[in-house]
Amino acid sequence: MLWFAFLRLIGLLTTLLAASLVIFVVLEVIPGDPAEVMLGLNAQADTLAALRAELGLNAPVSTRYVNWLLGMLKGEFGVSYTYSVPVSELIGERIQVSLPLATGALILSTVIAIPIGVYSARYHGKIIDTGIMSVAQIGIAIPNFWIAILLVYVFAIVLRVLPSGGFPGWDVSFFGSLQALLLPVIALALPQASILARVMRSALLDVLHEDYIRTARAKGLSNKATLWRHGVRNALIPVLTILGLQFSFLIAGTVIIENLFYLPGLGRLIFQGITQRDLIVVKSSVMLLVALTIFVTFLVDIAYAAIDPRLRRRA
Amino acid sequence: MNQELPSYPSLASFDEISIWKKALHSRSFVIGAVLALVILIAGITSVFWTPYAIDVLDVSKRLKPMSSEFWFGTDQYGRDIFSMLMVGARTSIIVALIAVGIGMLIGVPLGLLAAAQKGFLEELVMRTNDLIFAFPSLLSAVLITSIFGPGTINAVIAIGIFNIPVFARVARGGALSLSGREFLLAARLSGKSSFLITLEHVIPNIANLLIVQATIQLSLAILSEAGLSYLGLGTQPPMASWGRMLYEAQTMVAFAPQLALYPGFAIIFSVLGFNLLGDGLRDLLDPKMRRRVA
Repeated sequence: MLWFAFLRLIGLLTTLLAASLVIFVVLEVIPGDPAEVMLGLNAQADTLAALRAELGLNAPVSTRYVNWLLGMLKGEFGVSYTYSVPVSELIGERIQVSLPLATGALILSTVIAIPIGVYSARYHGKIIDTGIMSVAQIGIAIPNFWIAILLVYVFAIVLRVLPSGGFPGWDVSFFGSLQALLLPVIALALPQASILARVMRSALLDVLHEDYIRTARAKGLSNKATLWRHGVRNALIPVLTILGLQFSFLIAGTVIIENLFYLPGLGRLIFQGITQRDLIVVKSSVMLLVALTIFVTFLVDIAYAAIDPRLRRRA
Repeated sequence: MNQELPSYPSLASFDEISIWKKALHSRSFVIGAVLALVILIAGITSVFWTPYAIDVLDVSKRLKPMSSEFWFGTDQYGRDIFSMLMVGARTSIIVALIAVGIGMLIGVPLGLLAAAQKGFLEELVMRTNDLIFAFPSLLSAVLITSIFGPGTINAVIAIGIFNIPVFARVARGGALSLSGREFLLAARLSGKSSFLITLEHVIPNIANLLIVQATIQLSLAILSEAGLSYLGLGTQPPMASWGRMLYEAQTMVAFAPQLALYPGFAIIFSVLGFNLLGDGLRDLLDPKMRRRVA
């Protein structure tokens, strides 16, 4: 197990390194002169030169890359060009919105999906199962930003019970902040819940064919106890994988959803950074999100191996 | 738990006639095929004909309700919504087809190469795959389209890149599952090169897998295109796109909520169609996966 974790850790570090290289090349090498990108086409020559000096662009590309990496390791992400504050400060602020948003959506989708998936599997082939799975099939096809628009219409415009956007800040109004996150969380969670419910159902149906289920029933365990203690527990392995994958979807989903609800989160920071050509902000925040995704995949791999010893040999 | 649905025909023979018969009995396949076909026909027709031109703004005709003149009404710029939905279907299909095509054309050979040449090359291909998977797809599409400029072509490339590892993975998995099978050994013994064996024996045998995956990727690509266009990074006006329509409808949602419904339904309609088609095809082509698969 330790050896497996060690190998995975090395894989994690290589992927991180490769990802940082890709981000650096896409944002700093391909566009040509980052200073020119940030200032636009009509920039004065002396402003350009000043920004180049400020950003350390006169150094060779390899030095810049290494400096960026070393800076991030020290927690220095550079200073935002548009906001004139350290990027680390911006990220620290914005993550207070994105993290509750993504985890809230992850939790909500799990809480909805697991019972529904189990229920559907239990009544496999019955009308209720077909009904639930048809709804889930449609749920997968719905874009989260469309759900978001409908939610805003119903709860903010017609019923006027929830805000249509904006974020007061946790220290200003804790309850208000929770309210502001409610609709975005629901919009993000519903399509993911549809996927998860289907995975839960099919994983459970797979498991219910196993001999140990019959054994459990034969030794006198009730149907319900067998389902939960032996069925659901074993079916959770594929569900875990999907949860790991969904995290990446949720991260990407925050870009759209935070824009739609005017939430000052990381996704919106990146999107605004891109439109304002603030490459310093974009570079480090994208790296952060990618690192987060890679780390979650790593955790899922480890959890997987911890649950199922057979998988360790694969490494 | 393993009982079959009573309406489901047996899989005794596997010739083409029975496949078509089964296809017509598969609910997923029939509904999916019909939905996909409707979108396809709407998109193709829009090349030659739409009820109204979509690049003419006429404020005097703004926000008209549904009528025999404007089937789905008009938007805040006086454009006919039905015509815009048709052109949006064309945009979605073109973007999705090319993006998935890019993924297949590059991904499948890479996957097959990885399966055939074990060792360093395989490791390289699979690690590159992991790397692309590490980038949340929409996030990277936003990056790509913003660096290289918004527009349909860059959206296609951005979505296409993320289809490459998917197809590489499926092709490699499929090819590996065939390795050691007698007909491949026989082909090798008869002196065929591994290139020819791949071309003549491996690809036809994994074609089913690839087709099913392609259908599912099509629906994901349609969703991604809508997302990018919603953010203003995909298809640009005057071309219509469902995502863009949703973005424009959002500003009007307090006064004209119906504007947000049509493009949303169009997206759901087409994504559902390709998803069901994929499910149906998988049921038909791979009897092992029948029914229970999510």
